[in-house]
Amino acid sequence: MKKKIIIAVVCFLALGFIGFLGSDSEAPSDATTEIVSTTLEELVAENDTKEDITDNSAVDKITEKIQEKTTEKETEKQNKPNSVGDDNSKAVLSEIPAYSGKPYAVINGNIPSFNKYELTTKGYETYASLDSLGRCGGAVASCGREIMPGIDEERGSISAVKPSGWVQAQYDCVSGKYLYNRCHLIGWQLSAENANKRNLITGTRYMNTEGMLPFENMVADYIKETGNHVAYRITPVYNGSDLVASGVQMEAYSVEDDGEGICFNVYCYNVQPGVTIDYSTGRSWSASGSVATTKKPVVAVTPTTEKQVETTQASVTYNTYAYSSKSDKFHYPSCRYAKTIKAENYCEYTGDRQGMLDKGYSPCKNCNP
Amino acid sequence: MNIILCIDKNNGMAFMGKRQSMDCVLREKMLEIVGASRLLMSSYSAKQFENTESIVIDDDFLNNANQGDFCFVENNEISSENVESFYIFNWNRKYPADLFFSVDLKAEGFRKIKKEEFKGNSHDKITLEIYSR
Repeated sequence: MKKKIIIAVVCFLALGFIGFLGSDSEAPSDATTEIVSTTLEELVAENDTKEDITDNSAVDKITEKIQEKTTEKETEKQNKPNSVGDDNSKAVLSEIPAYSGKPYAVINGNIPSFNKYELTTKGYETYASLDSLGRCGGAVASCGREIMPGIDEERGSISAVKPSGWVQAQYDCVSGKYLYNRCHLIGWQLSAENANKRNLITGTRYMNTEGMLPFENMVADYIKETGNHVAYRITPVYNGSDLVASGVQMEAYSVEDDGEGICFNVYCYNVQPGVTIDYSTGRSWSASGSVATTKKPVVAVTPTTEKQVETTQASVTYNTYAYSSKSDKFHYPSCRYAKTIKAENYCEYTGDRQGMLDKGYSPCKNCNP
Repeated sequence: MNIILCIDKNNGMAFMGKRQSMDCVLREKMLEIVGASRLLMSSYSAKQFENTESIVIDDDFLNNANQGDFCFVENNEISSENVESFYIFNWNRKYPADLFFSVDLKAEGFRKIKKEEFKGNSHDKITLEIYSR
């Protein structure tokens, strides 16, 4: 009986609070209802366990709790910016300066655009569906420690994904030879996303490592250091029906400190110095006019033998590679060094060569896979 | 004066007026180096220090520093004029940058007198190099 009286009194007080908090001509917010609901649950729980509590002390306590929680919510609300930026923040291809030797350019005075729902202190990530041409549409996230990879988490393979315009080629002028990377919109170090086809685009090695990576590093290290959240949007920018993006817009804004730590709005050029790209298809050639110096020009095929299948089109080759879990080299299974791998350490991987390189393995100098 | 600064792999220091990165272990190391000497910095840099009692906060600190003082520089141009030593922390990472450390240390008569690596709070490896005339 005593418990029912207490609950009735507290409900009365709680409703009074709802009226007070909602007095700004709006209906009670979900947050306010949550505060009262949570506090009521706590009251019931406490009365189930404490026998000597008096009616007045319980009411005082719960009133105090509601006030505390309301203050906390209000403080959080005050600390969180409502929105930032405006429509001018969006990258418009015709207004972006032509590439002039720098991997990125500042857009709209470096001010990004996020609405109040995107400036949240709760981690989330969303990815747009592929369009009718199979192209990525972009990704938005609130990056925080809760969506980043764990300390011992290892990258998974992403080689099974073929983004739109994926026509791989090799050039001597490209670091690592391969023109294209499967470029994460929201980088693995921020999202722990692996083979998510809505998060991977065809990007040049140059854009990936010189354009996007420095910004990802800056955001990731800021989050690791502060535990704060960063509103983050990555938007590939296409010219018409091109299959390969002309570039990528990167926007970020640190939430808890209102952009003090992180605030940028930049465009990264999807170019590769020394290489000309046909963005409508993904095909490429040396800027000097010669054909891609692809050592093994091949077309995508289903896994077959260890030998490369040669055709006249540049694309991806699938092969089976052997490697040891104790080493960083990979081989063709027929390689004499592959045959020396102990059975308990022997692993095989079927996919394209880049997949092995992405996993951190280097090719055996004997069989040169 | 002695200059303390942080750079990335491309000698970058800041992007659009903001520091590239920060690390609380690096700040502790910096205070150890300074010891009882004066440490001057801008109000922007001072925000990352919890205890600013031992710090001289001055937005014109590079012009007001005396011999023997330490200056922590994040988003200001740096020259070698009146500099006794450079304490350079390298993040060993690539960050965006539009402000670079461009002093040619060798040409300006500085030589490396110490190199030390340590693990930061949010950086696996930070390298400190000290150059003196």
